[in-house]
Amino acid sequence: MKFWEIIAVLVYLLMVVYLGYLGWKRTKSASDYMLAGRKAHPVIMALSYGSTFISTSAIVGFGGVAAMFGMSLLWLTFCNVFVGVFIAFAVLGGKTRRIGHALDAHTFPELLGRRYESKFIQVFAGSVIFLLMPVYTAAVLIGGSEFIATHFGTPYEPALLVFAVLTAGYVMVGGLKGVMYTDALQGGIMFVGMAVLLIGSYGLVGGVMTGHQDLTAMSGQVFAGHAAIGHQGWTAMPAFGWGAPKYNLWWIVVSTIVLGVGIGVLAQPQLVVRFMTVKSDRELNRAVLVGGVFILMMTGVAFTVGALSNVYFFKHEVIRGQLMATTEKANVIAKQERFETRTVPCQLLHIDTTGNGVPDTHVVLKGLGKAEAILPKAEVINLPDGRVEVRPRASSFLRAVVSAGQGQWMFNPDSIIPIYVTSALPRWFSVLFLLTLLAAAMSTLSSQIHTMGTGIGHDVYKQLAGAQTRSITVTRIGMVVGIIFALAIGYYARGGYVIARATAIFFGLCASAFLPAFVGGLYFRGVTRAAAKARMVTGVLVNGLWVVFIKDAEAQALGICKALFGVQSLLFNVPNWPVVDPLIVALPLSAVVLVAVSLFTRKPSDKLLASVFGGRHEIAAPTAP
Amino acid sequence: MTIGVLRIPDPWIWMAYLLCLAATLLCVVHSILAGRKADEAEPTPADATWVKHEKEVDAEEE
Repeated sequence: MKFWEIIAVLVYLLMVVYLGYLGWKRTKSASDYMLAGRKAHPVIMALSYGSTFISTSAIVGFGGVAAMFGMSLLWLTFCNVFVGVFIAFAVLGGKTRRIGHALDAHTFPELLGRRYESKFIQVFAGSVIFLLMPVYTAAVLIGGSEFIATHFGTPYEPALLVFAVLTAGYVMVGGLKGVMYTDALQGGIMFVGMAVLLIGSYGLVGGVMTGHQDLTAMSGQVFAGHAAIGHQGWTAMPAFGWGAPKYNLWWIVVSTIVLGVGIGVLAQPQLVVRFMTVKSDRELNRAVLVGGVFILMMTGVAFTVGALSNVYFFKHEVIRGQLMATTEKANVIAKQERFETRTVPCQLLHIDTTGNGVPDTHVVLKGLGKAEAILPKAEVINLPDGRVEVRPRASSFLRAVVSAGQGQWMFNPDSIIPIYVTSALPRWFSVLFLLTLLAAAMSTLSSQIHTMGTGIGHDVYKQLAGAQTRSITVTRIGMVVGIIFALAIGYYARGGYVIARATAIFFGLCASAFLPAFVGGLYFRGVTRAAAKARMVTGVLVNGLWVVFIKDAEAQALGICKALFGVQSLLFNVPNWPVVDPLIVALPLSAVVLVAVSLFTRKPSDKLLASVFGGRHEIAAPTAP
Repeated sequence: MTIGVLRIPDPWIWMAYLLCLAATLLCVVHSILAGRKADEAEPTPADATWVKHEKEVDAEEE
């Protein structure tokens, strides 16, 4: 790491800490704005929400998935903007704030618990959040660590530890409650970083039209393993249908990535509480503008640039450096699940591009045996100064060769964006991108860690131990346990676009578990306590069972299905079902349960309905628990 | 050869591309129109109680 890069990172960290301190000194929390009759500036509020919403997971993880599967991921960007901003802010935001304040709810589980007058619901929701949030936290940590490992040429494991210590340390010391100004600074850095990335990337591939045209022309370069599951090129939707493996990719993209994450955002506990810290609908409506543009610039840019990276690697990339070694036969891992590993035999080149004597770039020279037909063949020219010039001629997936430890190599989709930024863009931009990722990770992690802590402390422990109990110790222990759990997941789970999958699992579970009860609770008087309980349990149960016994990759990783039934997935031999996201089954089922049970169980009390649905000026706030 | 919109031949992809921009435009227009119209209510008793208790919850967690 160069001296000026260290200075840039330190200056950024100092600014974050200083702003955090200022915010803490002036306004202990966002709620002070309302108490003092002041307004959170809509730009600040929207950037704060956006930087919490968008993490390294979206930029590195989902950007890598777009590089692998193409522009079909733009449907997720559409959902992010339309559902995650417009519906969330303009439709649900105001109601959430009014009802949250009327019920004196301070966390998402508390909002659900009080809406349905059920301690069980609050404890259940708090437990689910505490247990599952580390999966999403791990995704955020992996995203940042993959970039550090690529940018600085370090092994992944120490990069993970450094990134976790840096971000979690910041959260623990100063950013626990995500002071709005700090989040907004981070959002601003993210915006600038992604804007430069978009302009630079379209410039690299010859502009919008040329870039798209070249990307379309690359459809013949799709990796055979991806073509077999329906990949038809980076500017085409995957093949749609049912009943054959060649339709798997459509179901992965649409059910897991687009719907799982696109809808799941509405029931994200760390985002829902943001609406309660807003003074009025006017602020929410004003924030929609900045929120919409911000999210477009985050996920839209990440997915477009991810797809376009294929054109760069295939057509434009030239690597110059010292050839340090050649692996004559490497079985590079193309797919790795617990009980299933697929490798591709090839020759690898290991090149030192920085002149420090350490190979930092690894590319496929050519495939061996049958793999010769499906792998790119790099062009190598020996330069007069003893260095080599290599044109990899690879798609992004096949260019992303990284060490898998113990002398093994793998194609890692989560490394595509880091490799692209490091290879294609100037060094100064890599540092700006590193700051972008640090900002993205810090702002999201602060909310995640806080939500985990309050989940176990405020929503579980305090409810069970009694309202007067102080939950501070349990909350802090919960935060530390959550981070350690996330680190462990990040350490063991790598490869196979795990960042996007882990994020989708959490988002999908939140949607299955909470969404119908949340929306039903905001808009429908007839939803009963019994129905809310039944549907939450149904959502979690169906989602959980699907992940453990049906969803192929996750079921393999857990190994419970294999241990009990001797197969990696109960529907292993039935095409498409093992890649369908649990959300597709769990969400409709739990919504049906909500309606059906509501019809036959005792209606909510008039008093509760009056406080939830009555005019907001007549609401009498309940006493604190 | 069909070159589609923005040189993207698959209508499902260029539709997604344009819908992203349209959704953002919707956010901008909504924000300008509704942001002006929405009333800016003074804090209610429920708001005040919530703020008071939020500070207590914060204090417990820090």
